[in-house]
This record gives sequence, structure tokens and C-alpha cells, in this order.
Amino acid sequence: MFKKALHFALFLAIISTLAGGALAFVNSLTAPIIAESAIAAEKANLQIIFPTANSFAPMEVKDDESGLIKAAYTAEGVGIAYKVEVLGYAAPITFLIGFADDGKIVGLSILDLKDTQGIGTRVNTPEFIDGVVGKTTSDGIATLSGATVSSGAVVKGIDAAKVHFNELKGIEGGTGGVVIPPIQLGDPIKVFTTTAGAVVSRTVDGDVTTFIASGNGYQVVEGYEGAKANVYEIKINTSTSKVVSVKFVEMNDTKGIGDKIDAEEFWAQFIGLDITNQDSSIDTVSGATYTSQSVVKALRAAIDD
Amino acid sequence: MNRLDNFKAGFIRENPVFALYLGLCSVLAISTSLNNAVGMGAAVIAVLVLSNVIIAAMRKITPDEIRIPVYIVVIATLVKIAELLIQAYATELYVALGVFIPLIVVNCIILGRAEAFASKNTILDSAIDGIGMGLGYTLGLILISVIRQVLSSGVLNFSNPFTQQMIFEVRLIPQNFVIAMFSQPTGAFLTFALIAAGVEYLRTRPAKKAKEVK
Repeated sequence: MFKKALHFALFLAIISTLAGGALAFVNSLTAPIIAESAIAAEKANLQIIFPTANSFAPMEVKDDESGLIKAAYTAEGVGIAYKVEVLGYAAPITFLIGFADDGKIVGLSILDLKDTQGIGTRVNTPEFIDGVVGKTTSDGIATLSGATVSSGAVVKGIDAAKVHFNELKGIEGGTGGVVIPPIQLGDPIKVFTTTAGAVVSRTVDGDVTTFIASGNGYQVVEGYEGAKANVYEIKINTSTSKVVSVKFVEMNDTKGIGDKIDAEEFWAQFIGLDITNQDSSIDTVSGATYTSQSVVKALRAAIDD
Repeated sequence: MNRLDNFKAGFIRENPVFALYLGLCSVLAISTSLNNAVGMGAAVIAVLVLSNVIIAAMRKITPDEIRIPVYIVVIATLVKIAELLIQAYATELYVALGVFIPLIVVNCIILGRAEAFASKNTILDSAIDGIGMGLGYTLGLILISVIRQVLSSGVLNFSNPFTQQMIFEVRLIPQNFVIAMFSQPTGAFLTFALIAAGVEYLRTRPAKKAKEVK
């Protein structure tokens, strides 16, 4: 019995050793060719960033604290390109960013991007790339409103490359970091043409009546399971018929999208709004139209009440 | 069974794809272009023939109790070698086939032929069986791929996998009349089911005739 087991073990060991030997032999033959073709594939991308460079050499990146820089290539006499991988919204995003030796950003080429079509993929359009190329390694780069996760990730990655580059070249003054762009106001909506939300409660304090009112946001309108309306606190001065303030009580729409309306510029539109004026309108926050509408719905409910 | 019959078995009567329903995972997944089909087919033929030959050569010394692990080691080694060679010399094909190259290891055709044929037959017969079955698999793959590629893109093309040079390219269906669904898994299943039904009819028809004569 023991002899048999030993026989099996030995037989398998011999087979595995032979297999290992064969693999090692083939690997030693193919490894240099595979490595070469990997650089060759990269070369085409590098050539787009540095059209004038004649040769590229891999550069070792040691002190990268972010861990995002995957590779770096020096283009002789022109600049340095970094291959960076960051975590996007759905999957890692890989891109090449090229800096000229004087610190100017000369090229950004997105190599791998699997984020949401039409949202995350906006980072691979001139809309984003044109905002990056032409800046210097000391300038901040703005994210794309509406594609904050994907563009934020790429900007973070660029930042990591900038840190390394600036240190290498002795450029001082920081990297400028990630710039969040101001909210963009989109189409106006008229207060008196929207459907009214629902008033939850009202408290009268002298001239000022405080309403807690809800308006259906994106998730309710689109019929999400368990969706709840957004709730707002609306203060109206009943003697002057003007809105005093509007603010969030509860945001039940998509995180990161619906809460974009929670910005000073947006709320400021409501202050002093004349509730007797049938033509009053509010500009929606672009990229968060449904949630913006929900505020107006709640306001309409408060006015009607 | 003489050798010619043995060789022809894989084409229709025992076609691994349409009659034995073996190795379907890769067939359904990569049959989107003629290039993929030919590349995958060549890799499978190479691995199948070599594994059949090696296993047949070792059939007398392989202990019966541990034959499956031995087969797996042999097949896995051959597949890894094939993968490295494809990655080195046909990078485009390597990218297109992706995970389905390493998955040849678990392609049932290969272990199936090792177990059902090579472990009981001579080296020469096993090699012939490997070529026949491999060609049967490749033909099945090419058939599905050509139908899917033409219906989904309207174009049939083939390029040299080593140099990326286009060998031929013909547009058979105008751009506005292509059915994009056929590049999706749905199209793969639909194409496969229709061909499998046709092959089944071809396989059973002679038998029915023979009965009627009686």
C-alpha cells in the first residue's frame, strides 16, 4: 500500500518536473519577445504624446508615495511620460500623461476606460483633455461636473505624476491639486408650472412661516423601489410674500448627483423670491435636474398651502 | 474502425461541437470573427494532437488511479506553452482570445479525447484522432464565426495573425442592414442552436432510412 502511494507520488513528481522544465524553457525563449512587444505597443501611444521624440527609454520610479504610477518613460530631450492607473467609477482607468521638460503638460492619452458610457467616458473627450493639455505641472486641474468620480480619479492620478515630476525637476509651488468646478446652472423652470409636492408640516412664527415640504426627486420619478421624496425646509415671509430661505432636510436621490444642488449659488436663487409673481423661475443645477425640480415642487406645495 | 473512419469521425458523426457538445464555452464566447476562430482552432489542434500523442505514449506506464492528474499536468503544460507562444508571436490574437487561451486547459474536448481515446490507443491513432477532432472543432468554430461575423458586421475578413496584414476583406451586407445582436451572446446561442439542429438531422437521417428499408 505504502509502496503504491510512493510510486504514484514519484510518478506525478517526475511528470511535474518535466512539465516545469518544458515551461521554463519556453518561457526563457518567449519572455524577451513578450517584453519587447509590450514596449512596442506603448511606443505608439508615447509617439502621439511626444511626436518629435526619436527614442524612448523606460525610467524607474522609486519614490511614488501614491502607488498610482505604473511606469514612466523618458523621451530623450523632450520630456517624461507617466503611465498611471487609478480606480475609476467602475474599473481601473489607465492613462499616459506627458510632461515637457519645462513642466508643461503636452499630452494625455486614455488607454483603458470602462466607466459608464456617456458619463465616465467624458474624460476621454476633448472636453476634459483640452482642459488638461497646455497647463503646467503647477496648475490645478478641474474635474468634470457630472463625471466627478471618473474625472476626479484621473486628476488624482495626474497629480501623483506631477508630484514625482516636480520633485525630479526641482519645480516648486505644488501641483495645484484637484479643483472642483463651480456648479453649472442649467435650464430655468417656472415655479408655477410644476406639479406641487406635499407639505409635511408648518409652523408659524410671526410673519415667517416655516414649511417642511417634500418633492419627488429622480428616484421617485423613475420608480425606484423604496424611493422616497426629497424633503426641504422652506421659510416664507407671509407679510411680504417673499421666500426667506430653502434648505435640505433629507436628500433621497442618488448620492454624488442629487446632492450637487446643495450649493450656495443654487439656494441663493430662492432668497427673496416673490411668491405672488407667476413668472418666477429657478435655474436647475445641470447634471441634477430632477433633484432641482424636486425643490421647486416642494416650494410650490408650500406656496399653495 | 480503420484510420480514415477514425479521422473523419470528428467532422460530422462525432463532431465535438455539434454532436458531442464539447468545448462549447469557448465556442460561444470567441466565435465573433474568422480570425479568432482560426487562431483558437489552431491552438486547440496543436494542444489536442500533442496531448493525445504524449498521453498515448505514456499509457502503459501511467498508473490507472492517478491518470487524471497526470493528464491535467500534461494538458496544462501544453496550453501554457501555447499561450506563451501566442503572446510572443501573435499579440493581437492573444488580446482577442484573452482568457479563453488558458481555458483550453479545461476544454472538455482535450481531456475527453485523452480519457476516451488516447489512453487506449496507439500513438499514431491518437495523433490522427487529435487532428480529426481538432479539425472538427475548428470547422464548427469557423462555421459559427463566419455566420456571426457576416450578420453582425456585414464584413468578412481575415488577417495574418503574425503581421496584422489583411489577407482579404469583403463586404457582404451593406452597413445599414447588419444585425448587431449576432455579436452578442444571444447571437452565439441562436446560431449554435440552429446549426446543431441541422447537424442532428444529418446524423440521424441515414439511420431512419436504414430502418425504412428493413
